[in-house]
Amino acid sequence: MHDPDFTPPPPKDAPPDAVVEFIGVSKWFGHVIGVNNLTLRIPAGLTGLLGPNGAGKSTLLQLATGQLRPSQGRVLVLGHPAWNNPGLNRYIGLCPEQDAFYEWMTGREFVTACARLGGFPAREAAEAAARAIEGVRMTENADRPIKGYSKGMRQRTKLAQALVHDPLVLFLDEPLTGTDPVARRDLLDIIHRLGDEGRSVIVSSHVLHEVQAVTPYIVLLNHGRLVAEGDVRQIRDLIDTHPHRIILKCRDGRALASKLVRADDVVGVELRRKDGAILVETRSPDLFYSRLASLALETDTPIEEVYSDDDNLEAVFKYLVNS
Amino acid sequence: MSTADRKTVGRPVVVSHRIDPSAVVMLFRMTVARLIRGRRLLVLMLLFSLPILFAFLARRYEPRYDANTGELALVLGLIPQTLLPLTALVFASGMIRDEIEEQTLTYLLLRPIPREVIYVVKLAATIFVTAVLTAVFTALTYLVVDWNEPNLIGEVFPIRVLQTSAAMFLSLAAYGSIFGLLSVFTSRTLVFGVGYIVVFEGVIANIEFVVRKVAILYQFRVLMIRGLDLKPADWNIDLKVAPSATWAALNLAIAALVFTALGAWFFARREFRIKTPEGA
Repeated sequence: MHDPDFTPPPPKDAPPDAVVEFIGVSKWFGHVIGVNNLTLRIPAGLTGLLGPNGAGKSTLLQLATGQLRPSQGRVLVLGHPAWNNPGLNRYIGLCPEQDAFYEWMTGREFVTACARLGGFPAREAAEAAARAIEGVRMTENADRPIKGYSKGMRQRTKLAQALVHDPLVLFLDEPLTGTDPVARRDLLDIIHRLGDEGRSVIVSSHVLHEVQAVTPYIVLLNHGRLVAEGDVRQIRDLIDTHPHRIILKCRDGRALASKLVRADDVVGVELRRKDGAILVETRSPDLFYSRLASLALETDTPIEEVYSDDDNLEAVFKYLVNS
Repeated sequence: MSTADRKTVGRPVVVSHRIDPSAVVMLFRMTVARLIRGRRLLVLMLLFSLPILFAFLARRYEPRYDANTGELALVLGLIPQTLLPLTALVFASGMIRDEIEEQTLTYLLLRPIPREVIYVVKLAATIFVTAVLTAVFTALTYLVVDWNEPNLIGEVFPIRVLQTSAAMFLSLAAYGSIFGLLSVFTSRTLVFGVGYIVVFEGVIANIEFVVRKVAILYQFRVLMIRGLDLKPADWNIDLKVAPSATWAALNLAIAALVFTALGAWFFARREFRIKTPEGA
């Protein structure tokens, strides 16, 4: 039987300066599981939290910001339990995914109110709000009612409220969703700057290139489980345990494909209709590449192009979450 | 925060549980601002205008108009029996529920304010708004009911108005704490609240049985009978077994405190999951 109080020790090779720790954490919503037995240490710095919709990213962030209580396990932020720990909120900030505001306020009133809720006296709150608003480049529009804001302005305002109390750890839940390219670029610049300032920023997204643009350190989630974590290149190494996808372009694909299916290391061969290319899945890419030339000669099929379908993070992600 | 402080990242930081007055004041102001916006207040103001309208019509068309009867039927009848619990229900049910439905509760839960304090401050702001609304319209109703009466200045204003408003404030605090507690558990607070008003305040409070003492309306009436020197026969209350004015006031205050404490306790321990557009 599982002991709910049991706390598994952190992994031996875990980063030494984790700002957020999930120790055997599960979270159920009735019969639905949001996070499944997650043990994870997020180090200081920029971290990308990646996963498809419904992967458990927002649940993870709500657990880390103390809004949800783990059904099992422990969530620590800066060494303190996250659940119902209001004092910890002085050190953390959240830019939530939901597009919700006190719509009757102006942006400045909203951010100032958040500063005052954070314990700042009136004058200091006004100054902190002005700094945060300037930091997200919203000064020009700060005195307009929020209800008239564009999506980009709303995202910036949400970010400003998360920054107004100068937190050490910042959680950004899908901060780029729905923004136009200009706002997106600006927000990415802001996130990079926050990292440069020494804050720990955890950015969630279901879009790979968004996360890639923020940080090479990513945490991959799917179905509430940790799929992989680490540097993109480290994660790339993980896919060696999965079939490697290689695309070959040649004139007579059918002849070559018939030869390829006989190789022991080849898991699958698919002749693509749209361009006639062959999509090969192999467990030993090095062996495959080494005999590719002789195979082409054998079938008298000159190969025009060879490339790996795993060259981008998207492919890595697909591999890992589908495995 | 200084650069030196930033070096604490990755090491345990000191977590202080102090409550900042600035945060409490802001939360109170935000809650008041939210409550006085929208149609809710407008609808209740219209409802509170009814006793004023009835008093005006009675004065205009009733040949044997009696101010005492007007006071009993309107100020001490219609308002406390119907409008008071309804006002408390409408405002207290939205106190937390609005923040959940509009997904703004996150902004409050993310601040260094204990959840119990969030609940208590929001409830206090709700009771404040309902008490001001009730006091203003009670005074206006008294003004129309007792217009041209010799005791309007000196007795009705300010003594009876203040006494009635004070008793109504205590009743509102008790109602607000009950409906606030309900709103922590269910999104159907209005339905359950109306059920409570009908059963407890509509039926039980009017039955000559010991159970009626749990009704807020009963305690309010005892306060009014003893405070304003009214006839107990009007509400079938036996003063020999009824509590004293002090105890009636204390009963209301204790009920308010107990239900507020329960609401704060449950609110602090409940999760408020925010559903994201794509799911968790």
